[in-house]
Order: sequence, then structure tokens, then C-alpha cells
Amino acid sequence: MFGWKRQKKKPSQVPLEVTDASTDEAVLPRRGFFAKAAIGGVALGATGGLAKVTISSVPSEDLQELYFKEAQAGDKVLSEREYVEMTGREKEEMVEDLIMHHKKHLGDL
Amino acid sequence: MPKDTRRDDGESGETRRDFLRKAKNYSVASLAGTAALMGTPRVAKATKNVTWAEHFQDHYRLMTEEEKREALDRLEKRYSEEFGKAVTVDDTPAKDGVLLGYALNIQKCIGCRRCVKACVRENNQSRNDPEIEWIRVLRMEKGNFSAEDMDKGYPDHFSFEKPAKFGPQVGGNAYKAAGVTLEGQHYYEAEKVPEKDAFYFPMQCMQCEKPPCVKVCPVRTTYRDPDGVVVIDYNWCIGCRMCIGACPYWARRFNWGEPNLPADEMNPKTHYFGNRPRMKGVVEKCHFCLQRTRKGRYPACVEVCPVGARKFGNLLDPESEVRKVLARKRVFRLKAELNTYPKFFYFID
Repeated sequence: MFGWKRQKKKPSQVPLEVTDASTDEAVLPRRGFFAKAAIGGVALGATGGLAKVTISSVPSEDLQELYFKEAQAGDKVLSEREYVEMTGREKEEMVEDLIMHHKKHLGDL
Repeated sequence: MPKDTRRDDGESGETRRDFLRKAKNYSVASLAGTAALMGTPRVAKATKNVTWAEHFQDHYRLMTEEEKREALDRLEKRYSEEFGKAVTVDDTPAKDGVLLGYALNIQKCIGCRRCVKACVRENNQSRNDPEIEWIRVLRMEKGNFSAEDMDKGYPDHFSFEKPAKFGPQVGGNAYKAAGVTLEGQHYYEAEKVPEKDAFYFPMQCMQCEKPPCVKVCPVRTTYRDPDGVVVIDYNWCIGCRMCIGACPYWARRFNWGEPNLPADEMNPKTHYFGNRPRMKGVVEKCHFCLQRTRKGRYPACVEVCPVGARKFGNLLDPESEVRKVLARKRVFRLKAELNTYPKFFYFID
């Protein structure tokens, strides 16, 4: 029930090793920290390098195959399309629409 | 176990466990480092000299004239170094009073695929693994073409008990197939063309007036230029492939890997939005050979066609070839209206 009170008091009761220690002793924990940081840094970089090499060595999918797959899917869809002949009126309207849209795009209309 | 492992006599010592742990860390790190150094990354030709400036280049339309000049100079220098020849990167803008259009005579096309090969050569497309082609020639089974039956509508003998198999198609009516009856074959290998009972249907970018690919592009790297050509700023493309999904004509191609363009086959006359070498992860497509057409020349496919099936011109000029085709020939449109207003037409005499 009152455990939190006991825990709260603990830090002040713990002796401060570094500040209470002599100058020579204080250098050692710092050196240890730097050494660990250096090892960590090297390990991190090396792991990244290793991961990169591992990923790049995995055989990638055949590029030609990927391209073919897309092309063939398109072939199927496109060959099923139906075309109809345009009437004279339709052709005229289409040209008019194209020109009108073009002029609109240029801000002439 | 006490954390402080220093001995009482002041000598800094380590436990065996600490020593082994450190030794393990060093071993892993050095092994991994060696592996990383030994692995030679595969740097492709088109990207090995890409500078930071190119990486962080702005959208072409937002660049100042000075920035554009710098970008073009940079590209020219890089391509020239990479391909060992003097490469020019042009950015000739669209001409005023021009709206480019294209017409193809499907009756004349013999399926030789010279247009496909000419396009590959002209536009610096990837040659092998993968071989990328912007024009696809569909080989179709020739039906019983009958001009008399065209647009005749439903035949009198129609009955619901025996419904007809086919819908309205080129040269047929509601219940009689006349043109497109079999699946197309993109990579047909014929001993001799034209084959008996086959006709050919080349397809490429239709340069739509209302292009769906432009609407879906999240970074606006693809857009319609004033002469009606839909262009792509390859440096701005993020490779999301939205445009590929949106194109109803399947005209766009994606660079899954680094394009394979041999230096001796590279066409050194390039355009920024046209045939300059592309990189992995970007989309490309037909652009009516901008590097040619903006200098008053025909596209490579038009020039190479041995039977003159391909016509090209200015839709704003009533005297142009393409307008004459539209006025005098039998032109086809997709039955299903897609409202994209393509500027690429199919016709017969």
C-alpha cells in the first residue's frame, strides 16, 4: 500500500558513485559509455550494410516477365474492345469538340 | 551480482562475461562491415552520376528559365559522359496554333512491326531484359467483313431462344461478328506478313484531350502540353503507377528495373519530355516523338511505315492529312464511350 513512498525515497538514498568518487574513477564510466556507444554505432552501421547486401542478393523477379505480364493483361482487354463507324455528323462534332477544348485549354475561349 | 567489476586494488578488470560480450560485438560488427564492403552495389548507367542537384530538382513547370537551362546542361553533361557521345537535351516548347493528331489505316497495316522497332530505336527504350515497346500491334483474326452489314442493327430472325453470340463490331451488326473475333496477340511471330485471315491493330498513347492519366497523377508530373501531347517529367515521377491503372488504352509502361540502353545504340538527339534516357521506377509512353515533331518532322513510326498506313498532322489545319482523313474516310470510335477524346483515330478507305 505504501510501497510508492518507499520507492520514492530510494534515489536519494542511493550513493552517487561518480560524483562522490575521485577524479580518476569518474573517467572510467564515461570511457565505458563512449566505448559502448562506439561499438553500438559500428554494429548499427554494419548491420545496416549487411541488411543491404542481403536484400540486394535476393534474386529479384524477372523484369521481362513483369513487363510481359502487364502487356498481356492489356492485350486481353484491348482486343475485346468494340469499335463502331462514326457518322459524318459525329466526326464533325468530334473535331469541333477537340478544337473547342484545345482553345479553352489555352484560354482563347 | 555486483555491477562494479573493478578490483579492490584499483586495477580496472572485467569479468569473463563482459569480455566475451564485447568480443562477440566486435566480431559481429567486423563481419558485417566486411560483408557490406565486399558487396558491390549494382549501379546502373543512368543513375550513377546523378547529382544532388538533379535529385532535388523542382517540377519543370515551376522552374525559372535559368534553372531550366541549368537542368538541361546538367543532363547533357551527364548523358554525354555516360554514353560517350555528344548528347543534346532539347526543351523546344509546343508551337502556337498546333494540335497534333494521328490517324491509322487498319486496312493498310500489314503487321510488320517496323513502327515498333523504329520507336524503340528513336526513343531510347530499354532493349533487353526488359525490352520495352510503346507501340503494341495486336494481331486479330479477320472476320467476314461486310460493308453492307455495317450498322444494319438487329437482324429480323432474332429470337430470345437462340440468342446471338456477338455484339456490334467493326464491319458487322448486332448479331454478326465481322472484325475483332479473337484475342489479340502482342508478340506474334509470323514467318511472313500480312498473314492470311489476320489483320493488325497497332495501339499506342492516344494523347487524349481529357486524359485520365493526368487526372490521377498525385504529383502532376504528367500533363497535357499546349499542342495536345501528354508529357511526363521523368525527374518528378514518383513511380506510383496510378496513371498506368487509369489509362484505358494500356499505353503506359513502367520501368521495373534500370533500362538497358547500349551506348552505341543511344539516340543522342533528345528532348526533356521525350526520348531522353529514363531511370528505374518511372513511367514512360509515346509522346508523338516530341524531339522530331516540334522541329517539323514526322514521328519515327510514320516515317518508317512501308505502306503509308500512318497519317499525322495538325488538327487545327483543315488542309492537314489528319483532317482530310477525318473528313473523307470511314473513321471508327470505341463503342463504349470513355469521354477521353483521343486524338488517335482508326480508319479504313
